[in-house]
Amino acid sequence: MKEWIGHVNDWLERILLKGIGQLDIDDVKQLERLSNEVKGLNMDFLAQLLTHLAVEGRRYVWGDAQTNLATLVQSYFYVCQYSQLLAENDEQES
Amino acid sequence: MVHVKERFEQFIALCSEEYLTTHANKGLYKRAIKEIEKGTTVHYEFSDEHVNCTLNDGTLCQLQDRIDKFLCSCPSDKICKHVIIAILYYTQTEELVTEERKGDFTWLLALSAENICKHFSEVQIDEVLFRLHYPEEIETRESGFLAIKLKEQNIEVTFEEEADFGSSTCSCKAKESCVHRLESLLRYRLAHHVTDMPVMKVDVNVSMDVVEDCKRILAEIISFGLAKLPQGICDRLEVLAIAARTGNLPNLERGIRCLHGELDLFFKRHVRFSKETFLRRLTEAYVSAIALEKELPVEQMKQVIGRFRSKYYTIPRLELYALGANPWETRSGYKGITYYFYALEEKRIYTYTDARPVYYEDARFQFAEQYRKTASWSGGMTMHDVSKSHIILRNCKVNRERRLSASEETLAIMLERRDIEDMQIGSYLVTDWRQMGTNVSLALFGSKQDDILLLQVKKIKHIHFEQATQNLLLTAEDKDGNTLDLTIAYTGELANRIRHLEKSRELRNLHDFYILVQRYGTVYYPISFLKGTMLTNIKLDV
Repeated sequence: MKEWIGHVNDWLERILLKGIGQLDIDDVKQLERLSNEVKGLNMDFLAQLLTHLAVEGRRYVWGDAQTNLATLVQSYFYVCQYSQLLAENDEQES
Repeated sequence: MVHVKERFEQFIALCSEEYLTTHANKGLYKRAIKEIEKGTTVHYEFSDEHVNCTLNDGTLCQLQDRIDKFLCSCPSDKICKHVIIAILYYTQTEELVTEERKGDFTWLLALSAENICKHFSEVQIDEVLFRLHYPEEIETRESGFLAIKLKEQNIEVTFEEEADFGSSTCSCKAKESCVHRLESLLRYRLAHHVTDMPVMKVDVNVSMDVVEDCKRILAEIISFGLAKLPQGICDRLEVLAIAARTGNLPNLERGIRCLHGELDLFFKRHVRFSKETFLRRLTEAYVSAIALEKELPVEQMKQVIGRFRSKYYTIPRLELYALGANPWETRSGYKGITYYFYALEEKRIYTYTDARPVYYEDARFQFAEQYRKTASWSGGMTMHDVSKSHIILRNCKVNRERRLSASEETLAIMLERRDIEDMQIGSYLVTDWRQMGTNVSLALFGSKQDDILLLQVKKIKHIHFEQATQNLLLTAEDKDGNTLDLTIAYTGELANRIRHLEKSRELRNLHDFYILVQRYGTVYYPISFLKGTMLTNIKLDV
C-alpha cells in the first residue's frame, strides 16, 4: 500500500512542478493506470478520487480548458488531501 | 404594607450567616453581632415601599427586600454594620410569620438559550461555556428567593421569583450581568437536566472575497507549476495574508504566510525547501478555503476559521501531579522549558511553558537558571520544585489546548506527592508496548498536539551513543521483553549530561520504573524518569 501511495505522491509532486495548467494526455493516462492499480488493491476511495481526477483531466485536455480548470484543481487537491491523510496515518501506525 | 412586610420577612429568612458574610464580609458580620450583644436595639417601621429601621444610637437605615437595596444615614456608601444589625436584630427579636414558602423558579429552567444570550456578552458566554468543562459543586437554597452558591469560588448568586435578570444579585457585587450569574444559572439548569446551552455566535463576518481571492491565487500556483511560477506571487501572497487578517480568517492567514515562507525558500534555492511540505501547505489552505464556502455546523466552522490568539480562561481549581520538565530550542530562535502535569480530575495532561525568543542580541535563556527560578504563580516555589510536585492551583488560567498561563493571581499550594505507581494516569500510560500507535487521532484542521506517553519500564537494557546521528540511544525494555529505543539528541548544552548518562551505573541498575516520553513520528524522546515519589528530569537534573 505504502508503495502505491508513493506512486500517487510522485505523480502529484510532478504536477506541482510542471503545473496542472500544462497537463497533457500522457499525464492523464498515467493517472488512469494508477487508478486501476489502486482499485486492484481494494483502496476504493483513493481509486474513486483518482478516477474523478482523471475524468476531469481528460475534460481539461480535450475540452474547454478555462471552464474546466477550477474543477480540475479542486479534484487535484482532494487527492492531495486524502493521500496526505493516508501517509500521516501510516507514519503513526508504523 | 402587608406586602412589604411579607417580602421583607422572606428576605430576612434568606439572611443566614453564610449569606450575609458572602454578600458583606465576615468582619462586618462579627461587629454587628457584638453590637447587638452590647445592647443595640432597633425599631422597625413599615412604609409602603420600604422598612425604616432606627437604631438606638440614632442611625437610620432603610431596607427593602434585597441585600443590595439599602440606605443608611452613616457615611458609608457600601453595605455597613448598621444594615447588618438591622437585619440580624429582626431575626433575633421578631418571630417570622412567613412560613417556609418555596418560590417558583421554573423561569430559570424555561429560559431559552437565545434569551440567556441576550443578557450576556460573547466573551462571558465563551468563558462560562469553557468553565463548565470543569467540576464545580453548587449548593442551592430556596425560599422566596433562590440562592445558588458556587462552592469552590465561594460566590453566591440570588435570583427572584420574578423572571428578571436585573433583580438578581451576586456576592461579587457586580451590579449587572456578571459571569457568576451566568455560570450559576447554567450549572443550576444542568443540575435539573436542562442541557440547552447558549451557543457562541461565530463571527461569520468572514470576508468571502478573501476566500475567493485565496482560491484563485492558490489555483494559479498549481496551474503555473513551481517551475514557471513568477516571483511576484510572493507579493500577492503577502497582500492576501493581510486581507485574510482584516477578513477575520486567522487560520487562512497563517496558512498563506507559511506558503509565502516556503516559496521564499524555493526562490532562494534553499536546501530546506521541500516539495512535500509545500504541497501539504498548499492543500491545507485550498481545502480550508473550500470548507469556508460551505455551510458548516458552528463547532466545525470555528475550527476552520481558527483564532488569532489563544484565549485563556480562569478556572477555580486544578489538582496537578507533575510528570516532568523538558528543555527545548527551535531553529527559528526560541528557547524554553515545558513542564508536564497530569490533572487528576480531568484525566488529561496540562503543560506550562516558559519560553523566550533568543534571536535578539542580548536575549539570554539559560536552562539551569530558568529551572531554578521562582515560579510565576504565587506560593514561592521554584520551577524545579514545581516540576516534581503534586500541587493545587487556585484561580489558574488555562486555554483550550490545556496550557497553563503564568499569572500572579494563581496560587500554587503544595500537596504531599503520592507514588507514581498509585496514580491512575489513564490513557497516557502504556504498559503493553505493542499497543503503542493504535490510539492515534487525526485532525484535518486542528493543530497537532504533543504526543506524550508514560511508559512502564522494566529496565534500561542498553545505552549507546551513535556517532553518525549524534544521538544517545537508551534501549528500554518492558516486563515482556519488548524493547524501544529512546533518543536524546546531542547539543552543546547537553554534552555533560549525555556523557554522564552514557556511563551512569545508577541508570543501568534502575528497575521497575516509568519514563515520560514525547513521541514525534516514530521517534521517542525521553523527558523524565519516575519511581515512587521520585522524579528526575533527564535533561535538567542528571
